Amino acid sequence: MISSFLHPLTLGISLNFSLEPLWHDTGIPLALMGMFIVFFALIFISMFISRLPHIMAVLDKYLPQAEQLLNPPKPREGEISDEVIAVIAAAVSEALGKPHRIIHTRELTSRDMAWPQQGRWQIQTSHIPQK
Amino acid sequence: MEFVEYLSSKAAQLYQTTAFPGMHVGNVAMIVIGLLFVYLAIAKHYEPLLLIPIGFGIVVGNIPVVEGMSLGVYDEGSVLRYLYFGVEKGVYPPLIFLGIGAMTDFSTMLSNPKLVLLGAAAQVGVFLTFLGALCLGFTPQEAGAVGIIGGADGPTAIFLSSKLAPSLLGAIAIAAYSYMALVPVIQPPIMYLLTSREERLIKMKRPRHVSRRERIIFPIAAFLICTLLAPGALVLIGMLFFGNLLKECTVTERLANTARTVFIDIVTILLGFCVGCSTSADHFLQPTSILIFVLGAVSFAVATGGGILFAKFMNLFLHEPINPLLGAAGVSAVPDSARVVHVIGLNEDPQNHLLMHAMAPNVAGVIGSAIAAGVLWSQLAM
Repeated sequence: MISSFLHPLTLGISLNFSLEPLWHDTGIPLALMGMFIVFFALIFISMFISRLPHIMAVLDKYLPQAEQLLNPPKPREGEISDEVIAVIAAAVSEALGKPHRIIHTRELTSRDMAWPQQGRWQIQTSHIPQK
Repeated sequence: MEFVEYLSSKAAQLYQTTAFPGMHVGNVAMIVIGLLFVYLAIAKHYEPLLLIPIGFGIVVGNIPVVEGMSLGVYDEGSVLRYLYFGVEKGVYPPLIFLGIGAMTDFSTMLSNPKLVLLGAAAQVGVFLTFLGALCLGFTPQEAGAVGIIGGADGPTAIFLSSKLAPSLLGAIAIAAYSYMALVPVIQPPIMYLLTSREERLIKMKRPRHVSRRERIIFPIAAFLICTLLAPGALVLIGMLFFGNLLKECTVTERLANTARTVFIDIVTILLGFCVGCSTSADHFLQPTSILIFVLGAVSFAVATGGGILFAKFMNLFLHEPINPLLGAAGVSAVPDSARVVHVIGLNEDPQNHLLMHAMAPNVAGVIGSAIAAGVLWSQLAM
């Protein structure tokens, strides 16, 4: 019963250490070839990236950038532009003075304005002018 | 009296239909390990998106099944078996790469191309561990699958082991994801050991602006370069750069958004859970699993050291030296190793922000480990 309970834990590690497999084709030669290909591919990519600004200059000359790439689409009605979101984030940061996370922003509609209007109305009617 | 005998025989019958008769100490040990993963994820925030699915999968995979019932990942016709198909046949990893591509911003890499080489240097961990595994008696296919743990890329490790050594898949996947979760623990001592304070204080030049057009051209060109040199990396690299093109081209925002959110989340859940389920004690608790964990740790450490030492080597020839800490980000544990580099840099100088610079070797490491996997697969699968 106990031996069957312990069955999967009967671990015995027998290390067969040998340097012999290193000299096969699937040993050191493969490791060197692998490192060579990895380096070669990434060096090639690195060289391509460093030439990219020059390639861009040629491309811009013969294939001007599409309007869409030069001028990112304007936000649709009801959406807020990235610049305005950045300004809101800065304002919230300044007002709170502590780490914060803006989860959602949207443009106020006339329906949303009911509360500010109600607030203004209350402020403006909170005192009776002296006659 | 007969009634008592009847009851006891029924109780014995009932007991046989529970999981207890098949429960071994190995299953208990694995369930504890699974719960430890869940604890580390919830309490310590160690890679919760991975460790929760894997940890709970380990618990599920170690509940002994009743004989005759098809329930586990290794039982033909079971639901888990169908879900495990995606792991066994290497379907999930490329899908994860699609999501990673749609998340990745290559612009820091494009603004500083020499940092790409650090991603190549870190792959030395893969190939040295491959050699070490060969010496320890693993077959070349198994050694290749074990070595790729040093790439610190879970999906790549799963992909390659599913192709070269399916029997080791569970151990390799758990080792790869465990070490990825332990990046903040494993890397800093090596980084401190191999760099001086002066080197850690090196400030990097501000990256240049990268145009949208460059970011669109890059995934197409890099895909062609990588796959023409290492066609074995076609699936992983193809999906990575396809995802990135969806992100950068600006006209498929919906597809990119799906790929980097819901899509990758679903595949991560399935992959993590199925890998966990595959670690039943009788498959996982083998002497080779312990060796794989040891070799995985060595591989990870060598990869980290390789990146750092190569950055120091590059500094011998560069007019503007690189902060050698960036070499540690050459392992492709995105973005954890870049974050570790950033934190170590800030510890030395609170004004030295290395995160954006570290992302360059980090994403180059993803490409490098996928190429390494492609090379090993193409050479060893024959």
